[in-house]
Amino acid sequence: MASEEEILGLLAKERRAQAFEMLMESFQHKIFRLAYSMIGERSRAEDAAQETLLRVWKALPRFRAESALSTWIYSITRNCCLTAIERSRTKRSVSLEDPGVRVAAEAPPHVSHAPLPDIERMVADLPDECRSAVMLFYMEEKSYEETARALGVPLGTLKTRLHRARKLLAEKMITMKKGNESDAVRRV
Amino acid sequence: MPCAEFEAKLIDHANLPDADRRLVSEHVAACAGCREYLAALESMDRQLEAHFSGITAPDRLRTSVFASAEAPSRIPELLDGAGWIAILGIAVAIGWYERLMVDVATLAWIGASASVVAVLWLSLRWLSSSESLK
Repeated sequence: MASEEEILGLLAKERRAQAFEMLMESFQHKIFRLAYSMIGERSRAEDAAQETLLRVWKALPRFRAESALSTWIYSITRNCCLTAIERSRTKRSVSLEDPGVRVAAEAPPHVSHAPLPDIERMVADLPDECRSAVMLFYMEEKSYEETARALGVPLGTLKTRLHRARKLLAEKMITMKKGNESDAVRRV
Repeated sequence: MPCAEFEAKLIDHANLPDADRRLVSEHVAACAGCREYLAALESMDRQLEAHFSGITAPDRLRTSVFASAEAPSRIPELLDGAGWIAILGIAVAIGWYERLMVDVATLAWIGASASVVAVLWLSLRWLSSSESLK
């Protein structure tokens, strides 16, 4: 994997296509993981990652190395994700105005989709900031520094969000376990 | 549920200093509520690790990016270059006019010729350095 210095060296020599190839190699997975943690859905995260990489390619001539390359790329990723989240919220609220769509939206969930594993469902139900923190932390092999850098938050903020997420998840797990146990007793 | 004074320490159990960890272990050995809570946290940690660790971008991401990418615009660079040349040209023209007292028509010719050369140079530079990912 290429270092930031190598990529910046190629940019300085105006070899942008080659620099972008290296950048893609080094950052595509990180960009995808950040997008997945923020959006919470793989297919939409893939679209946001593609949009991010295209924006990075178009903006490369204007990159002036005033910040680290990774900081710049993560900031573009976060903006793309926020736009995607905003777009889907607007779409949902507009489409729900339509009475036909409202009936469909009120139908029981998970009818046409495969059920999510318990842990994924529990993570999906967390508040947005906790969900992205916990997902990215585990995707980035439990690196506090990398997770905080990608999310653009101080280390302390990340730790607070992770603490809250763990607390909520543990409570849910205990509640679910107790629910399963009482179901089993009732069946007997 | 865990004891209130141990809840925060149990949540951050993995990152506790040794002294705190010993204290928590002694308490957990004697408290069923905290033992259950710690077991839930450890199970959650294992499940999260199994579920999210090692996630990578799909292979088609690269293909779709390269298929959609166009050459970045060089217009900002062209404008930068043209601006600097215009400033230099004006400075030189003013200097010459004051030194040689050349008439305005000659100065206009010099300015026009300099502009043509500048535009030709910038176009050549742009064409020679344009890159595409395709």
